[in-house]
Amino acid sequence: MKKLSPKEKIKQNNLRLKRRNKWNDLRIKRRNKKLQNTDYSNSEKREYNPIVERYKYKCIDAPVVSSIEENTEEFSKFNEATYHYRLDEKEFRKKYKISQYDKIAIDLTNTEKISPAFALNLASQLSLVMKNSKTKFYGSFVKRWRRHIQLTLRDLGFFKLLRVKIPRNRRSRKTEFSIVEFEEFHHSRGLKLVDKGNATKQFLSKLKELTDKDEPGFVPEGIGEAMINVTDHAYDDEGYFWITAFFREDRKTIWIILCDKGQGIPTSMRNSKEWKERLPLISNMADDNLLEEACSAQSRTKEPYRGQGIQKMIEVIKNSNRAEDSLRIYSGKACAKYHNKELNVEKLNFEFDGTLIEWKYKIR
Amino acid sequence: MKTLKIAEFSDFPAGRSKEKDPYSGEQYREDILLPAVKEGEVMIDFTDVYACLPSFLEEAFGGLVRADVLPPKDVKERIKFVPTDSTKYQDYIFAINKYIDDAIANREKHGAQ
Repeated sequence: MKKLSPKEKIKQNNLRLKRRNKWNDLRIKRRNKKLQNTDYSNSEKREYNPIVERYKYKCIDAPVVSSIEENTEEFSKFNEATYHYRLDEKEFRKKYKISQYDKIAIDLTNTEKISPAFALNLASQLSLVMKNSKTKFYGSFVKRWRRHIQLTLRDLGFFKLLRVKIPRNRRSRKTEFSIVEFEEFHHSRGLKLVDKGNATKQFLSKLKELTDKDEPGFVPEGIGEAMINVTDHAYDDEGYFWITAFFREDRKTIWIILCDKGQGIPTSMRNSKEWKERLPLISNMADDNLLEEACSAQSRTKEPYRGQGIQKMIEVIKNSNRAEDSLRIYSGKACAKYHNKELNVEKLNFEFDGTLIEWKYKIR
Repeated sequence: MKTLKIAEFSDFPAGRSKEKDPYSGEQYREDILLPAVKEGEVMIDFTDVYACLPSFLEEAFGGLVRADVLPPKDVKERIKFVPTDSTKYQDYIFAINKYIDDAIANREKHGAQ
């Protein structure tokens, strides 16, 4: 066989890459066309199973539409599986009948659409798995994920947070969003107190790079109070929380998402001495009732100076006087939505581990 | 009269408890505010402050009343503010006065803690 010179080798490799990219693009176009015609409300769709066997692994398989709001049922099954895996691998294997010899992976091969809140929640789960079991997140499956999913997660900072090397993508992608990448904070009493003021300022300076505007006064207050809520109530001693933001230029809208994997708002209220004094029957109250109490105005409480956290976030939205601003909070078995100056609290049919706050507002 | 610049403590003070936050209301109250208020009147200056969280303001100033070191009326009379044109700082001044009034009302309702 004729030996190729280095220049000829490079030429040959480039041709191979061009051909591969051409086929990948065609595949994505066909898939997108199929996706447009797919009706996910169809009752004949396949039943979602979070555990599948793939690539000789037992994979915790993310849903096709990975979104907490749009696909709550499948999200609940996926989240439950990742939660059990994070908490205790042995119990997880027992619950899902996985042999001790089978390797486990979290996989997004089937995912066609992913929301940033889902991605942040997943990143937080995986980050904790890696910390608890001191394992690495291997990026070998990532190559098989849809390219637009890879790019979305790359732009969100998902791989950077988990320290995963992803296949280099030479083509940049135009996206309708500008993003502040996922950021992780470690809070620990005594040694590692997070300076929330400074953290909020740094986060806002990154946000300013996207929007090229100073944020209105209620934004630092809302973000700062949300962070304080996490460190004061979510964890007893030590914990992590994650934050991200993205800006949609055409709609002039900013989303800020904050996530923690602590005890959740309803549980922290049940454990709080002050709340027990305010609500003597608190141990019998359901999560949705407790979350509603947490979000409600202070005037009903004996000690009006307390309870700045979520109430402040809602107050800042009220004071901004803009009906299009909204706030969504998932915690425990409840979801609170504040929109059009109305608070609605719903019961969830699954338990959300920790708290996720999604805040959307329009800039002027 | 002593002038206390909040920005010298932190330009973005946040949080209540000194156990959980490095620039908390409790820290500010114990180390700076209370010793100054014991001596006499103080002028609070918000110049160069990026933002102040409500939880910080409430713990620092409302906590002064709850600390029960001085009579509540004295607390209210001794705290003054440097005049400002900034609406943000005016909101903080309004909030502090409200927190002090609420703390006094609460104290009268439920007794000293």
